[in-house]
Amino acid sequence: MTLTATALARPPMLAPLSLTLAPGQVTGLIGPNGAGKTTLLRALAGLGTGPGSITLDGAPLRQSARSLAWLPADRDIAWPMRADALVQLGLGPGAAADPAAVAAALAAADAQDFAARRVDTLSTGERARVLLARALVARPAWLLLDEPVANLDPWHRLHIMALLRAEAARGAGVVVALHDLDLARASCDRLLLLHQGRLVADGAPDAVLTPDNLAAVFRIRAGPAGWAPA
Amino acid sequence: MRLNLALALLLVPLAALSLFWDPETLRAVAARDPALAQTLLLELRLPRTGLALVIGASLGLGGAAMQGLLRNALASPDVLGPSTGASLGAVIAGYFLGGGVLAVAAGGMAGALLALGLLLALAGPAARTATLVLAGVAISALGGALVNLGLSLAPSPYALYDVMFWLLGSLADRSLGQLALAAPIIAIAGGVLLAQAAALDSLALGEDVAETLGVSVARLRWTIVVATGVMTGAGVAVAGSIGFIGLVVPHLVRPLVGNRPGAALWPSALAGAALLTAADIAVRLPVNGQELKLGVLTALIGAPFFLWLVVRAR
Amino acid sequence: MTRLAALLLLLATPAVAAPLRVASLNLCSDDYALLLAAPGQLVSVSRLGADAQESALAARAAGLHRNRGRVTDVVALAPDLVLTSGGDPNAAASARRLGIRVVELPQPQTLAAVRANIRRAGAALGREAAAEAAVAAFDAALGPAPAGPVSALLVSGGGLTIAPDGLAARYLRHAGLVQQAVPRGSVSLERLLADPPMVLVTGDYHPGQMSLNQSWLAHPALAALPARVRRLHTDGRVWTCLGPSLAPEIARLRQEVAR
Repeated sequence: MTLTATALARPPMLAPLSLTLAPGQVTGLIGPNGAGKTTLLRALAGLGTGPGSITLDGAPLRQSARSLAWLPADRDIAWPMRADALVQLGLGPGAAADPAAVAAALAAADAQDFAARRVDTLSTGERARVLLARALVARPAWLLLDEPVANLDPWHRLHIMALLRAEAARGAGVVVALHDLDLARASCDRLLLLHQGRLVADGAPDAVLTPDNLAAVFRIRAGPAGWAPA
Repeated sequence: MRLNLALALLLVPLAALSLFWDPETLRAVAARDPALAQTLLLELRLPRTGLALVIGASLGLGGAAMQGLLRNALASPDVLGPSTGASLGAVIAGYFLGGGVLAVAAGGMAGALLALGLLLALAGPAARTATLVLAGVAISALGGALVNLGLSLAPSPYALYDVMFWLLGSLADRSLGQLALAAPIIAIAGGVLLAQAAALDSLALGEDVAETLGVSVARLRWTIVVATGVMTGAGVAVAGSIGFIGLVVPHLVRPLVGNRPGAALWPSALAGAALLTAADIAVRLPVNGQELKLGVLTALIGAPFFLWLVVRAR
Repeated sequence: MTRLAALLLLLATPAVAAPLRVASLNLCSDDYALLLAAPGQLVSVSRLGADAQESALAARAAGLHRNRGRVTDVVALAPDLVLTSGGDPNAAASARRLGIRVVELPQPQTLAAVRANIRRAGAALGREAAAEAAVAAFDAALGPAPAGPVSALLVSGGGLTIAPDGLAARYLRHAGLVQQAVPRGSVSLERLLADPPMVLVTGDYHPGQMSLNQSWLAHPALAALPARVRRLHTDGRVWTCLGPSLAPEIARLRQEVAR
C-alpha cells in the first residue's frame, strides 16, 4: 500500500513534486519555517491541493477515518467537550461508541488520566496528546501529523516518537513534520527536506542531515555544545 | 436521550397551559356557547400554541446548527441578521410584489437566505467572534433600516403598526392557515438539520479534520445554510422576527450534552419550543391591560445574556 | 408666472370678494372644501383627498392639482385662500408670510364643532348659503339619536377601536349604536370571541392593500362568530376626519341597524 503524490502544485507555497510514500515507515518532514511542510501534509491528506493527484495504491484518495488521519498543528478546540468524547470523534461521523478503542488510544498517548476532563481545562501539551489520541483511535493506514510533539516535555516527546515507531511497525505509514532535528534523526526511517517550497533532499536521515544541507537550509552547523548558527 | 425525553415531557404541561390559558374565561364561554368555545380553542388557541412550539423549535435548532457550523457560540439566525433579512423579504413580497400568504413566506425565506449568505461571506467560514458579531450587527441594522424604509414607502395606512410586528414578532391572533403553512416547512428543514448531527460533531475538530474523517464540509455548510434560512424565513413570515431564543437555548442545552454541537440539536429544538411557549404564556399575563409583544420579552431576557456572552468571549 | 402671482397677491383683498383660487392642504380640509366650493373655485387638494382609497369625495377632486400638504406645492397656483386642518403646523404660518389668506379648520371634538367648521369654511369660501344647506343636510342625515341604542363595537383592522367617549362614538350614537369600552383602545380576536358585542361593526380601510391589520379582518375566527352577533360593515375612509362626509354613512348604518 503506497501513498503517491504527483505534480502537487500550490504556488507559491509548494513547487510541483512527485512523491511515493511507503507504509511501515516513519517519514519525517523537515525544513525551516515557511518551507511548505504543512502545505505538503495537507496536500497528502487531500486538502487544498493544486492541480495534481494523490493516489492510495493507485486509486484516487478517498477520505475516511480508517484510511487516513490528519493531525493539524492547531491545538484549538471549538467546544469544551470531554477528552474521551473528542477522541471518539476520530472514529468518524456517526460511528458507534467504542469505549475500548478510545481508552486504548488515550492510553497510547499517555492521556488516560484526563479522559473524563473537559479539553478546555487541559494544558496545551495535554491537549496535544488528546488530539493525537483522536488521530490514532481509528488505527488508520496513514498518519499525517503536523508537529505532534510541539509543546510536549522531553519525556513525552520521546514517548510519542516511540509510539509512532510502533504504529509504523504495525504497518501504518507515518508522515510527521518535525522541528527537532535530533528527534527526526533518531526516530525517522526517511527524511524529506523542504526549503522554500521545494523538496531539496530525500533519503535516510544521515544522507539528508548533511553539514551542507544544514548550512544551506537551516543556516546552522553542529557545534561543540549542540547546534550553532552557521 | 433522557434529556430529550425530559424536555419533551416538559412541553406537555406548557402546551396545555398555553392552550387552556385563562380557564375561567374558557369555562364561561363554554357555558354560554359551547360552539364558540370550540372555535376559540381551534381557531385561535391551537394555532397560537402550535406556532409557539414549532417556531420555538426552529429558533432553538437553527441557533444550535449555526453555532455548530461556525464553531462560534455567538452565532444564531435571530440575532445576526437572517431574521431581519426574513422580515425585509416578507415586507417586500407583501407590500410591493402583490402580497398573498405564500408570497410573504417565500419572500421571508429568500430574505433570510440572502442575509445568511451575506453573513457567511462577510464573516468567513470559521469566523472569529468579533468579526461575526460585527458582520451580524451590520446586517441586522441594514435590514432593520430597509424594513422601516419599505414600510414607510408602503401604501398601507397601517404600516406603522406593521413595523412592530415584523421587527418584534408576535403570536397573537394567528390562524390555523398560518400554522399549516409554517409547520411543514419547518418540519422538513428541521429534519434536514437534525440529520447533520454527526457531521456537526466531527466539525468540532475543525474543517480540515472533518474533511479527512469523510465529512463533505462544503456540502454540510450549504445544507445548514439553506435549511436554516428556509426555516427562519417561514417562521418570520407568520410570527415576525423573534430574537434571542436561538442564541440563548443552545447555551443552556450544550453543557447537558457534553458540549457536543451535534448532540445539542435535538435538545435545542425541544428547549426552544419550551422557552418560546413559556414566553408566549408570559406575555399574556395582564400587564397594564395590554399584551406585551413577544419579541420585546425575548429581547428583555436575551439581550443581557448576549452581553454576558460578549464579555465572557473577550 | 411669478409676476402674475405677485400681481394677484396685490389684487387680493381679504374678506371682500369671494376667493377665486382656493387650495386645501390636508385630507380633513379637503372634506369641507370639496363639499362647499363652487365649481372652479378650488384649484388644489391634498394628495390624500384625491385618493379614492382615502377620501369618499375623491371623485369630486378629479382633474384638480394635488399637493403634499406644503405651501410650496401650491404657491405657483397663486391661491388667494389656503384651507388647512391638522397637518404641518408651519404650513399656515408660511402661507401667511407669503401674504396668502389662511383659514384653519380645527380638528372637531364635538358635532357642534363639525357644524362650526362647515360654517367657517363656507364663510371663508363666500359660500354661506351652501354652508347652511350643508349643515341642514348634515343634521338631516344624522337625525335624532335613536332611543334604546344597542351596544356595539366598531373595530378596524388589527383590532383598533374608537374611544367610547370621543366624537366617533358620538356619531355612532346617531346610528343607534353605543360603542363599548375596550381597555387600551384595541381588542384581540380572542377577546372578541370570548366576549362578543351585540353588534360588531368592522371598518375596512385600503381593503386592496396588503397589511397585517387588514388580514386580521379576514381571520376565520371572525367569520365563526355566533349568528346572534350582528355584523355590520362600514367604509373606513369617512372615519379618518370625522367631518361632514361621515354623516351619510351614519344614515346608512342607522337604516341597517333599524332593519
